[in-house]
Amino acid sequence: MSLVVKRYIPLAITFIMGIIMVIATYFLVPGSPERYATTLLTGTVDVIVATAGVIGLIVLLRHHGVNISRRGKYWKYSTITIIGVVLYLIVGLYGVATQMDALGTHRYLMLASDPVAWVYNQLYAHMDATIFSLLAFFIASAAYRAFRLRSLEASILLLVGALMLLGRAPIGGVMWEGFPNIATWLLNVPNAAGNRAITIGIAIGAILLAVRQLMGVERGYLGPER
Amino acid sequence: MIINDGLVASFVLLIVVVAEGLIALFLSRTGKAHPKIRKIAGLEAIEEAIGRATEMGRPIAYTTGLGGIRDQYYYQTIAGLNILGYTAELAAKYNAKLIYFPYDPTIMPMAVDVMEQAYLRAGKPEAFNRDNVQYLGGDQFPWAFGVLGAMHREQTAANIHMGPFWAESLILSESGFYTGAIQIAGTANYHQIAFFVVAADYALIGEELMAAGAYLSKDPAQIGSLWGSDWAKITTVALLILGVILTAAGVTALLDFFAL
Repeated sequence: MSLVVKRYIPLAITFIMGIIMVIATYFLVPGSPERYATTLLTGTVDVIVATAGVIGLIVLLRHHGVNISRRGKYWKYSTITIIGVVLYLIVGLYGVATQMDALGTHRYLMLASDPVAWVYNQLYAHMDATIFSLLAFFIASAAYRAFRLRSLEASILLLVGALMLLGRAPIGGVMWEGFPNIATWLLNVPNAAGNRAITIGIAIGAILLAVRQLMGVERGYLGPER
Repeated sequence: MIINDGLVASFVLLIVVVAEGLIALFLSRTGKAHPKIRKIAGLEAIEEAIGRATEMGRPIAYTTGLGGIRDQYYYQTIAGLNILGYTAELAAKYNAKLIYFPYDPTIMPMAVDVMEQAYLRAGKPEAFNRDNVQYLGGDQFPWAFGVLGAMHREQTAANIHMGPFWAESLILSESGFYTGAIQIAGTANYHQIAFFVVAADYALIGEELMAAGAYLSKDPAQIGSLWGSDWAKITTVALLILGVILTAAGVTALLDFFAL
């Protein structure tokens, strides 16, 4: 593919779209026809997303299908994945087909049908919550490693962590009424100051990254250049 | 008013930051200034991580978090793709297997392209395998556990996470620790930075992630814009100090301008 197609056209599209969005945000009055036209432009992303979703499904099925056919590593897990995807698709299509009238204008939304909602609420939501709840154990093990007295920084972290725990847990306030105040001060003063410094750095970094990309100076996301 | 209501201060600040960035960029590009940037340990460690994976004969896992091209976090995803190109090129040079796990399918074609070109640049286009871009689904925890499962099954020697992360950051980095992998992670989601700092071997904090593309390119123009971001930070801090002094003196002009 020529350099024009691979590099210059994407860079030109990036520049034009970026400038249009800046103009729309600062100069076009919200609710005006011109501003509405720019929101239609951002709506084109939905077309990309819909197409990419199908590509994602094909890649997923292909990867696991090839693994099963070659009896590759953990091919049995691949079978479960494919069964899950296909079953959910069938349930969705069945829901739309049987509830066409009830769904009304939302008939194109598989998620609005009862069978899909049942699978989602009774199976998926619980599995999702189970995975999320594991985070508590990961936090405990990470905290154990971080709070070991190895250096001055780790010692300060341990002290602050202990004060935060005592300040936030009900028992801390019972032991000494000053613990909740210390925890609140730690959160609102040193923690807020650190967070704001990081946020300012991120905001400036993001603006200048966007400038480099709009000007075509930074093109790494188009792949390293030959 | 030409500028929309309530956005005047924002526009003025945007112009100031962009102007500072551009002036520094052009000074550096034309050779009138030679800014030096400090070493970013997390980026320097990528080569070490890939070397380790090559020696151990085990793969490298790479993720760009929960970002796509349709949300306000896209800039982090793009920064992650910049680093992916660099990582893929090194992996190709060292003959190491790199597996990338996209979260959002919109990123997949871009990532495939970035990796393909990286292998081409390394002179090993035949070594690129599209199956090493593994889509696991676009939902937070199923995706995270898909990556986690792959890290355990493949016994990855290095895990690199660069992009926007939320609650899955600790799940990935803490479980990666137990596989014995060297871990490099970076995000600009400040509520997750602490988790990466604690659980990963090297962490890129906030703006370091956005600076990665410029840092790795060694291009004077891009490095110049990083110098410009330092000017912008000095301006911001000066404005903060001025605001504190003026407010203490009872002058509210600056507060009114920023509508605080």
